[in-house]
Amino acid sequence: MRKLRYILSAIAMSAVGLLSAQDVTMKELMDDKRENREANYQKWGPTSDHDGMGFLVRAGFVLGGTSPLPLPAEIRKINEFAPKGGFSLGVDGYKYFNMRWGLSAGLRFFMQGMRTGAKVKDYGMSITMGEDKVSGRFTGTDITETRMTGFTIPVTATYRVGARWTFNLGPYVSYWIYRDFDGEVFDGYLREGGPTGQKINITSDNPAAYDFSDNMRRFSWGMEFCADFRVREHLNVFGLVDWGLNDVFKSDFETVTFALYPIYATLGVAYYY
Amino acid sequence: MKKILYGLGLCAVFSLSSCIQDEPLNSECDIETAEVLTDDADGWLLNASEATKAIPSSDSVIIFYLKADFADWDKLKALAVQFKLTPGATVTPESGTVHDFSGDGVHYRVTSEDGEWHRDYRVRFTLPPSLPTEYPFENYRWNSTEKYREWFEYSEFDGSEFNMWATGNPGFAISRSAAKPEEYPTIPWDETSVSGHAVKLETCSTGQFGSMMFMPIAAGNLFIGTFDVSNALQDAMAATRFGLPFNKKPVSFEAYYRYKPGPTFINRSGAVQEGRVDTPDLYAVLYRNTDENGQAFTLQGDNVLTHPNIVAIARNTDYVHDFDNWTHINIPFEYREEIDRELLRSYGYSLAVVFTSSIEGASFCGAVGSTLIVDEARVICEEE
Repeated sequence: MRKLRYILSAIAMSAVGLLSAQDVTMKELMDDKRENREANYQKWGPTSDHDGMGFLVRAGFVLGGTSPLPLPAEIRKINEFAPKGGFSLGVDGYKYFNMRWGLSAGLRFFMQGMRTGAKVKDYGMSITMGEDKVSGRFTGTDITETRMTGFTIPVTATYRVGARWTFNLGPYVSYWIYRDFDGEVFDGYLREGGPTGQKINITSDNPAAYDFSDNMRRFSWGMEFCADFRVREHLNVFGLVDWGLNDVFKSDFETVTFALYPIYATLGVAYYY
Repeated sequence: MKKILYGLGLCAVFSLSSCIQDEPLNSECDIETAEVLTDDADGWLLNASEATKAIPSSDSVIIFYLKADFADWDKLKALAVQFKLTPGATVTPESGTVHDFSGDGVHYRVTSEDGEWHRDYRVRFTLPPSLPTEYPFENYRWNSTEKYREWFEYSEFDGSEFNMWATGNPGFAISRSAAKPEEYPTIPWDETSVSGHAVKLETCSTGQFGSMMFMPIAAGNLFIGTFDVSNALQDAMAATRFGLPFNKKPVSFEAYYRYKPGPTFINRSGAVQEGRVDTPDLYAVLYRNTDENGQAFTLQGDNVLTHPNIVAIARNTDYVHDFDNWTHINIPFEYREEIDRELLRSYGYSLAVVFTSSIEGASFCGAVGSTLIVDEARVICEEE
C-alpha cells in the first residue's frame, strides 16, 4: 500500500505541476486571446460549449502484472517477467458540467495477464487438492502465469486541462469471465510443516505444479487513471492504469499468504464523437 | 508533455526501488554434515567413509559405527565431532569441542540464525548392531506424527529397539495427507496370520498430488534399509535405500504370503495397460557395502537386483495368486562369488530383504488394489 501512495502522489504532483503551468497559459489566453481559446477548443473538440457530451471508442494494448504490494521479503529476486495481456476495446460516454469538469462512464472488454519467475526463500505455502494438503516453507524458484478476461466499468471524474489534454480519475469494477492462475515450483526444497520439518527436494526435472484458478474472484475493483491527448480532430492517444485494490483471490483462500493486486496499463487510441 | 513523462518516470523509479526487501535471516537449523575429528578413522571406525556423514533432514540421532572388534572404550571418552550447520545457525555445545561419548552419546541443540527455531540432536558411537534374521512382524509403533506405522525388531545384542525396517509410508504421507492410518500402503494385518500379526502391503492411489508428480500409485513395501523422504519426489529410486550391515552368510530366504492382483494395471502416466496382471516381489540380497575406494555403498531402487556389488540373491519368481490360503516359499541364495569371511566378520556385507505388492512399484507401475500379506519371514544362515 505504501508504494501505491507514492505512485498516486507522484501522479497527482505531476498533474498539479502541469495544471499550474497550463494555468499561466490559460490566463494569457483569457487576457489576450479569448477568441483564440474558443477557436482552439473548437478545433480540438469534442465541443466548445461548456456542457457538451459525447462518447469515445477506445482500443488499446494491455500491459502489466498481478503483484503483492509491497513485495514480501520472501521474494528474493525476480528472474523473469513478461506481460501476457492482450487487447482492450471499449466505449466511454462523457458529459461536461463546465469548461473543465465532467463525468465519464464506460464499458470495456479487456485481456490481462503476465508470466513471472521469482526466486523465493522460506516462502510459506500450502497446496490443497481435494482433501489432501501439503504445507510448509519453500525455498527455490517459482513461476506463475495468470490471465484474466472480462469487462470493466469505470466511473471517473473528467478534468479537461486545455484544448488537448484530458485526465480521468475514478473507481472501476471488473467482472472476470475467464481467469486462471497457475504455475510450478522447482529447483529447491520444501520443509514440510515448517523450517524444522523434513526436507523434500523438488527439482526442475520433476516440478510441483499448482493451479489456483478456481480460487480467484469474479469481481474486482480499483482506481482508474487515464490521460488522453488529442493528436488530431476526433482522435486521441491515451494511457490508462487500472490499479486493483482487492486481492485477486477469494478471501477464504489461504495458500498464497499475501494479497495479490492486478495492476494493468492500457495504451491505445480513442476515436471521439 | 514533459511533465507527464516526468511523472511516469517517477512512478517507474518508485515501483522498482522499493521492490526487493532485505533478506530475512535463515530459519532452518540443521546439522548438514558431521565429521569425527580423528586422524586414524580407518583404525577404529567401521569403514573409511564412516568418519564424515551427510545427515538426512529427518534424522535427529547421528550414529557413528565402530569396527566390529573395537574394544578401546576409553577412546570414546574424549572425542570431538565437527558439524556443518545451516548457514548462520549455532550449536551448543560448540562444534569441534571434545566431549565424552562413552555413554548414551552427547546431546546438541542447533538454533537457527533468526533465533526462532531449534532442533535437538544426539550423537553416539556404537558397535554395528547384529541384524536379526527372524521376522515375525510383531513389533510396530506409530511414527512421530501418528499417521502410519513403523516396524522394528529387538536387537539380539542388547534387546534395544532396532529400526531395521523401512516402508514408503512417509512418501505416501506427503501425497495423501488426509489418508487414515488404515489407508496407508503398508499396515499391520490381524484378519489372518500365520502367527500373531502379519503385514498387509497394498498398492494404493496417491491421489491428485501423486498423479501431478507422475507417481500415480504407491506400492505397499517393507524392506530392510532406510527410506530417504527428501528424495521421494525428486528421485524416487534413490529414496529407497536397501540393506543394513550383516555378518552372517545367508543360505535361504523363507516367508508365507497371500496375494491378489488389483483389477487394472496402469503405467506411470496413469494409462491402462490392457492384459497386464500385477505380481508381487519377494527377495533377499547380500552385497558388499563399500565401493572400490572404501566408501560406504547402499543399493537403491534402480540397482537393487543388478549392481555388480551384489554377492547373492534369493528371489521368488513364480507367484501364486491365492488370497485365501498361505503360500510358503523357501528360496536358496544363489551366490555369484565366493564370500570373504574376513569381510563378513567386519560387517563388509549388507543384507536387504524386500517385500512389495507390485513388482514394478518402484517405477510407479502397477494395479491399485494389488494386495500382499506377508508373515513369518526369515533368513536362514550358515551356522558359524
